[in-house]
Amino acid sequence: MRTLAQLFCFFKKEFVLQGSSFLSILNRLLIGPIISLATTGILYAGFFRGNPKANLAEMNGNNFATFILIGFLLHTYLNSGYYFFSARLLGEKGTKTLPLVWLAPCNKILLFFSFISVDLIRCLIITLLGIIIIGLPEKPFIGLVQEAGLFLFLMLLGMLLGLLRVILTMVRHGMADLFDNLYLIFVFTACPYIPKTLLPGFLQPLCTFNPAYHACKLMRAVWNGHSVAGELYHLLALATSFVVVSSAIYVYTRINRLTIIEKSF
Amino acid sequence: MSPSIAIHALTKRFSVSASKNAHPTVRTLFADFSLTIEAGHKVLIVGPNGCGKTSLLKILCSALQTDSGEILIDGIACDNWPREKLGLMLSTQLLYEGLTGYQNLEYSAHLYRIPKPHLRIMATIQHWGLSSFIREEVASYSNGMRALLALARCTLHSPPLLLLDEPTAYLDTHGIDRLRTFLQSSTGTVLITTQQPNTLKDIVDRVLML
Repeated sequence: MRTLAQLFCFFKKEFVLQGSSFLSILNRLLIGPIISLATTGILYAGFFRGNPKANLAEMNGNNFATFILIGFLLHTYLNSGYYFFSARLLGEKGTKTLPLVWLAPCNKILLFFSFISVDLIRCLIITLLGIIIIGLPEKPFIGLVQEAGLFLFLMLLGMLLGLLRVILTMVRHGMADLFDNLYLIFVFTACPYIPKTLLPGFLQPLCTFNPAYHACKLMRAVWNGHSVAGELYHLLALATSFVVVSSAIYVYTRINRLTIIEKSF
Repeated sequence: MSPSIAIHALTKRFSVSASKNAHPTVRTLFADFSLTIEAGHKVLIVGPNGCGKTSLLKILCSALQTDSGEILIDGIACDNWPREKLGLMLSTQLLYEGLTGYQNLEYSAHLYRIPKPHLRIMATIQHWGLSSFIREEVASYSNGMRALLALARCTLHSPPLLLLDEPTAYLDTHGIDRLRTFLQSSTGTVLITTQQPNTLKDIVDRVLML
């Protein structure tokens, strides 16, 4: 009960701090998602309208909307975790309240999760818009539950990488910029908008080691009615990479704990 | 239980540069510095600017790393001392401008997992005399109002160890009276840095000159 009250209070704080203007809320939660979706959709719809019989590997005029939209959702959830979470955490440094966050004896996972609570609504709106455009998965109930699990995974993965970005910003300043560039490659090799086989040969092996690529494959498989259990290879790759990434970040954070706190002040 | 503090052979150096490209020089803040503070004592730390008053508080809450030495709070290394037993007021005050005073206290109460937070918050508001402006945004507060709210925030969870950095800097006589009342009734260990020792020196156990 106390945890729920705690979570509610953390969420309330984020909504009060970020939702001070109706126009900013409207832009962020509705207009922004519609424009993002529309621009991506228009680009590919235009291509396939001009070339109705074109095939881009597994993508064609009939399935491109599903293909692109699932990639778009992957990108949205991953970016939300990475950029929004890290910007929010660094924002606490800007308002000089970061020591309060680091030194507080509360559950840091709840606290960090509250930081992306406003953006989570934006992600949900984008997901709903996506469903309106491409319809529900083949197996609606189980499909949506599995997709929700994958979205959550992507957000957590993005948050872990975002946390690392914040730590690098504080501990080794120049490294954060490099990390941002590596993140772009990470997203690109997740293949959200183009099939893997269209990538240059030297980039394709990177996909194999990219957890987001496996998440994307799983999301597409689930949407098309396959069961997650049937995609065992991707599921194992995903679980292994998540354990490796989170363990590495945990160890790095523990080692640099005092430096991180010192730089927060 | 209020804790005792033992600092043994503390050394802290800073690298300082005149400009970005200049060769840094090392400035020693503490060299082989030792100090013992008994449990429950109120200690006033005074000294000129830059002598290390705030740095000493930051070292005690493990927000500043030392070059050598041992800092024990109740026999526990300071970076392992439970955070919920520590109250910290810094010159930056750790307040959210976009929240009201009450929301700041409520948030802090949940960060420190205080049971029945509303009752505790109301008692704290009354003690520090915040009632008239507690529902207003902190952005509209004067420096003195912020200082009172910061004091309320760091004492909200009744920590046995309290580190106060320049708490009297912006307080008027009523605010200082409230701080004095709090210190006189507190059983915890309190370390206070100040540039105005006369306002508090008659109620503390010790004045430490750095």
